[in-house]
Amino acid sequence: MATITAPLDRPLEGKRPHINEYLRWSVDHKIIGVQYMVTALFFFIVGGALAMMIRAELLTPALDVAASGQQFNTIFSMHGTIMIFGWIIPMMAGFGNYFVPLQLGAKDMAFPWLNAFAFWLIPPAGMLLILSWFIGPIEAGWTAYPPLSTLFSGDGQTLAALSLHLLGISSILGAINFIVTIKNMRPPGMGYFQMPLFTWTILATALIIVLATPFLAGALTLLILDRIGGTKFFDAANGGDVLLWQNVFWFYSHPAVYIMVLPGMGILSEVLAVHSRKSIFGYKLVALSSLGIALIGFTVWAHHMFTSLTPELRIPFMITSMIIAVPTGIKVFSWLATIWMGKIRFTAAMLFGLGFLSMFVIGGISGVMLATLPFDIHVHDTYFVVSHLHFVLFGGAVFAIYAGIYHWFPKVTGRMLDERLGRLHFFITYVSFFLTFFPMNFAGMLGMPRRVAVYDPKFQTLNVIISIAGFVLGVSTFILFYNMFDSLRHGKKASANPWRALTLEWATSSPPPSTNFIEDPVPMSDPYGYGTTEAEAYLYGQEQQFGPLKPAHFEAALLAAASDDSDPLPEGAGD
Amino acid sequence: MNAENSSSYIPIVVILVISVIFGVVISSFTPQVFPTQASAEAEQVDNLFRVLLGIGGAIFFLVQGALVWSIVAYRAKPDDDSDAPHIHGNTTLEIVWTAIPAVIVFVLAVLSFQVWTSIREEKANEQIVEVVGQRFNWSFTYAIPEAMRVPDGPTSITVPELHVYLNRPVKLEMTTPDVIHSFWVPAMRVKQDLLPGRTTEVRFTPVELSPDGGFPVVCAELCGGGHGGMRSAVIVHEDEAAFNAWLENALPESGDPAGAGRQLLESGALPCAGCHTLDELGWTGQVGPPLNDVFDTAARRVPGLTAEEYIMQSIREPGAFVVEGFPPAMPPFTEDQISQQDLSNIVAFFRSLSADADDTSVSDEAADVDADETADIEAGDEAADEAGVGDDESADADLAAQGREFLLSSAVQCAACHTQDDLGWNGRVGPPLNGIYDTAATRVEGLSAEEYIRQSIREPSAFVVEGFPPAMPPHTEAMVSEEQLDAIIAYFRSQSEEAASE
Repeated sequence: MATITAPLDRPLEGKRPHINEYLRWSVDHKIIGVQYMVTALFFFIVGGALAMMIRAELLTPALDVAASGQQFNTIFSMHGTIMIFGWIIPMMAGFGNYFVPLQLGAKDMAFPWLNAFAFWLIPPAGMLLILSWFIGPIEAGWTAYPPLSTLFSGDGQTLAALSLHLLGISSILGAINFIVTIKNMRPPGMGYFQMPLFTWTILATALIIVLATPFLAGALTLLILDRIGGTKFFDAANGGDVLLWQNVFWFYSHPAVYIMVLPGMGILSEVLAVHSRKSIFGYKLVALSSLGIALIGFTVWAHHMFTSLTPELRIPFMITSMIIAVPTGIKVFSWLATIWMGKIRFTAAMLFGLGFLSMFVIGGISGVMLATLPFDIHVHDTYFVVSHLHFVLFGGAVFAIYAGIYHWFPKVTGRMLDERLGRLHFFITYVSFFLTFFPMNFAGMLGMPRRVAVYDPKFQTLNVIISIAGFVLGVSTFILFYNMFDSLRHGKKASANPWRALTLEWATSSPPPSTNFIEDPVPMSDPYGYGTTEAEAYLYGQEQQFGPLKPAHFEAALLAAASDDSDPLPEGAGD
Repeated sequence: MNAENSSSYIPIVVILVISVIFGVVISSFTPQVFPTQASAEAEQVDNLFRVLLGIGGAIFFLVQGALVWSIVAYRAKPDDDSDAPHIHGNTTLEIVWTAIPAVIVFVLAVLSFQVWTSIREEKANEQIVEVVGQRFNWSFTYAIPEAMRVPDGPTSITVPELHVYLNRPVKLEMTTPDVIHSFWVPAMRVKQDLLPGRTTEVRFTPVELSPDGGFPVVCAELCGGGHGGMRSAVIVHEDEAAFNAWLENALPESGDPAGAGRQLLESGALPCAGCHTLDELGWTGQVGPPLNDVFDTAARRVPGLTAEEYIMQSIREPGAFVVEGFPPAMPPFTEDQISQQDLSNIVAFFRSLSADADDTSVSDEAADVDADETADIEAGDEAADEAGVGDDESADADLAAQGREFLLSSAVQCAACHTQDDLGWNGRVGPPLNGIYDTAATRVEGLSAEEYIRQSIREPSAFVVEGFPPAMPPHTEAMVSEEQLDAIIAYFRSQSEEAASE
């Protein structure tokens, strides 16, 4: 096949919506996307502050920063809950909202009103979550295992559960919207395999959310009933069963890991290809591996119960948990092959993309180790697990979010971020992240359980290193916040396609007009073939032959071409 | 493009080779990242990890090596705006990197299965120890061998550390009365959750003598505020003889009934600590009367009964003499639960405390304080009666304040079971009392809130709230006087009025 030449960068000017647009009810998916992302960044700061408190407490082996063991438990319970349900999941939903319709060439999501409604559930739910801190200690961690969460934990637990109910509803409504949008809003002629990989991962994520989140809702309902309704679902003394919660909770919460990580993988597939000036390697397999991960993700939940599950049932779950390494491996190797022989530009977005690859693989390796039952028995519920989950959720999801922010900030705001600050942000984050979370592996293997305020003094040196690196990591976040605030006003104006990317969202102005595209884009058979000179030449030829395809005022950037030699224009495209 | 492709294989081969070497080298660091191998299982687990670390290390190096190589070799030249060759895929390569990880996880699964089966296998001649984990301590119960038993003496002994000896397989049978805990001995590589309502098991075979203080036992499942401090130790003895010597020593001497009584109470086998305070053993329960100095108090309680008789009967039939101001909440303990021998040991223990505690009368002082408080409230009642001529509202307020004060005093034990935010109670056994005045008004047709509350306190069994156990004892006039009851009701009414005015 022919080599595609990079698309031209077009000086299309966009107009940023007025700030007030973001503060009120809006059905524009781009406004809603930003609302999601800004809300999530707020919760990121709250959750981060809690993480700093945890690390301050763990500087010494005794209880000193927190007023009591219960308060320490509340701190890490809030940290986990806020970071998962207030930060990563809504942030990914924000990216999805903003970019899925753009990548499909659609004007908006399928259900704009529902979209706004799903978002507006989040601020009150988040406030409830934060308020629950003041209502009574939440002692049971984000996993809320009964009977600790039902018979012992304070009333904050009930409020937090109600808050998660709202967040779950928001999540489900958002996901239904994504599925319908992706199914119905593709322009005629754009098949599933003509969608960019980011949209593919949002589809896989939305399927997981719709299928799994109702289980969380069910578990939370039982929990709330046990706490305030006098039921005994989890009360062993009255015929209940404590493992019921673990099964139902993890049936949601393990797939939830993929809800958080899959969109990050999608971002990575876009960022790595664009900034190494190459096509993604093995598009079809990468796209399908997202569905593979989503599917297998439903069969592994009980590996979270390796020390409580009936011993006979543990082996099957070990096997399924290991198998999920295969589709994940496909992605990692495809990304490596994508940058291999590329012409890599070390933009901040690319650096975080490479950082994701390098850190996520550690999380993947420790994940296979944790799936290995006999070894897991030793490190289950220890700092080894804390390390693993942060390599996946911070080294994976958050690094991807950072990459996405540097990559798409120009599209959303019409301004470039400061690349030098971006690189500084990357290097400090990368080093301090590794030094924070890698030594936790040693702490866990040598005998330090997780979720303790008081620990064996022999682990103090390790914990001091971890805490100091953790503080640096916390502070490094403000480089990004400063960069975003400063660039909004003083950043260089962004053109339509500053990275010369090949997907549809770059074929409109930065930021896009409220209808996204002036004209309906014409889809093409290669999802990464928009706006190339070759595509334009092809379209020019078509135009000569069949007459004007579109009024010409919005540039041929939106027009399509066949990637391989002679795929004709899909039916229904053009006039 | 073909030429470029083939030249790009060279770095791949180099990286692959170094990755394998890296994996082999790094796997030799396995012992450094584990505690000592104190059990037979530890060696198997560590060997499995060695394989994991080798494969993981190789993959780690492969990925990071390819990354670093790409960063160095494929960085774009500053003035080069062109694209790299667009390679869309390579089916062979994609099959390879799907198949190889699949083979690796298959091998790991087979190895793991073998290790797991071997660890779980029932061994011959297992020593069985019953383990109880409760917030926030561990206790271990051993059957006493026939040869060591004294006639009519105890058949088992409970101690706060796990004692085992070299090469004798151990099987732990574990239960918990409260929340989920997880029994973890890092040096043995064993971990198993303790689950309410179930008995769970874990096995290991110690192969290394324990250092001073033993191998740490750690709770690995979040169990509340004291989770980090829920620790114990495994003491590994040299051989059976050393273990028996320890056991012999741990058993109370037959000539030392007080020691036997202390040992029994300390073991946590009986639930006394939940309700009683006893400074000597660190008990802080608040539901029943404190047991500091109980031997001296018991002697004075019932004319004609000695302290010994009084204590014994109080345990066998607690309903017979309920101490004023305390709920008749204690269950009777039959001979199945506490043998006659154990009972007399317990009494001997209390007698020994009495001799110790002759000079310090802490509990007497505490009792005095209680008495003073009650007196104050009664005096307040009278004062209120006298002053209650003019201003009704202020009299109501006074009465309500007295009710509140009475509830806060230790004269009644409502807080143990009820929740009342204004009073800082958070009991979960009975229905919450927040907004009780309003609720009470709606409960039984024809009964006013006042009547309902009054009757619920005097005769709780009359209206048990659905979903709660009928556990509340009746409060007679000896426990709560009519005036005190009026004050309590006035207090609840005042809460309702305050809520309404807000």
